[in-house]
Amino acid sequence: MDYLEFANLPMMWVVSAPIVLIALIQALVYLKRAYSAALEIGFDRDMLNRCIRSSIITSIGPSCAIGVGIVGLMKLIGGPMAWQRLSVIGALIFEGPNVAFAAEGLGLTLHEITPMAFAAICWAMGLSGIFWQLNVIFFAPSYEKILHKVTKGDEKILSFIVLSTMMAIFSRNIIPNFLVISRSTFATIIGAGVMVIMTLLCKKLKQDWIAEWTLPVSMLVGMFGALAF
Amino acid sequence: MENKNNFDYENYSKGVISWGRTTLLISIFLAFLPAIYLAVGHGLWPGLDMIKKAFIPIVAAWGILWLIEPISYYPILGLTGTYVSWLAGNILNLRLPCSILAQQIAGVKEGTKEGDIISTIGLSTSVVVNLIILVIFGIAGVQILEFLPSSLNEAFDYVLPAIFGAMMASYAFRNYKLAILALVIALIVKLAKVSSGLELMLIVFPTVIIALLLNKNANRIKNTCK
Repeated sequence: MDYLEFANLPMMWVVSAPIVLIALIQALVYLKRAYSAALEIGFDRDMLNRCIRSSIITSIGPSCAIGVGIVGLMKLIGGPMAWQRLSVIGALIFEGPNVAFAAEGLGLTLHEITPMAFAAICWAMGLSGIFWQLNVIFFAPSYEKILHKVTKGDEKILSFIVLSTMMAIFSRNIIPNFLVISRSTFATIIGAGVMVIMTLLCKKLKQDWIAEWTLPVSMLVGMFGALAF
Repeated sequence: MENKNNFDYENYSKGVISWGRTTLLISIFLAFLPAIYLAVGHGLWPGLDMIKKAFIPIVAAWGILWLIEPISYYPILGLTGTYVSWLAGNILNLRLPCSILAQQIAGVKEGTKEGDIISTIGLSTSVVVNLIILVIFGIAGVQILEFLPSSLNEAFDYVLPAIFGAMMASYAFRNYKLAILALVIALIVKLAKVSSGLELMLIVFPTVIIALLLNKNANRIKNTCK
């Protein structure tokens, strides 16, 4: 059986759902508590409802953009895993590369993934999300204190470290595409090009909503555009 | 906005922390359900060795982020926001905008306790909406893929290169010098042809360290020129 057949088993949807459900339940409980708390403090109910309404509207665009990412990822890890990973902790920029990294670690190309390898990848992807969470579980109540000690007031340092790490990772995966020319090379160039165009458009036209679509659109144009070469 | 009715923040905070810890802990186990199912239901237990091999590149790539990101976003998300966001994910593109917008509408200051409560309302709403929409995409996505002409199937091989190119371009906008530095270091290490795990370390650490050093120097020079 091809690994994707395992990946798309109906039961895979069933076992991928609980974590999504828990995210939903967590949010609903927090929503109820925060709403009650806000009312108790004295905030106006109408105004709180406006907050909720605007949050709903603001969420639609980015959610659809993430949805497109799910479709793109489905071919790699099947519907259930793609849906689960992008619904909860983990975003396209992590999960997509994670599949590649995991396969690499196993000494396989993306085309050589066996059902057993896929199972290992599922474990690896599961593990990849939990460390953020363990961090939060143990240390979140202390973040305030730690922040002051570590950065000594220079908060920008942390975000700078994050930025440089991400650039390093992406560079590592981009460079091979320029050392050996293939359709992947064109996918990279087109992806980058569309991103540049859309980002400039977003800035020039001052339309913030374009921002969330930059990644999915760049991905789509890049992946299909590569076929032209 | 003052605390008109002497609301008990202490108690509320404790509730936030305990609910957050509980749900995150549960989610840690639930993340492995698909893998456990494959092992138990289909005999696909890859063994610790294979799992290690698959996981090590991922740690090498993102380990630093696991340590640093939660605390970096904390000033913006607040305490409750931290628990919500690290379960539901999609922080930069979705949670942050909703959090900030809600606080603006309510007229509260970010980083205050009122801000935290209002931000929670914005964030939780976004989680609910987001998850509903993604269920739709999950179901529709499978249908779309089935109707896609097979000649286009190859396109999915290029999902990752396209994403990497796009993300690199996007970050380059924020700091093009850093982008060039990262690419150059990656080129050098790649030409050196070392093993995969080592390679990731050799690319990530020097990039971060050199970037920090250059940044410090840049700031120092700016200051002395004033």
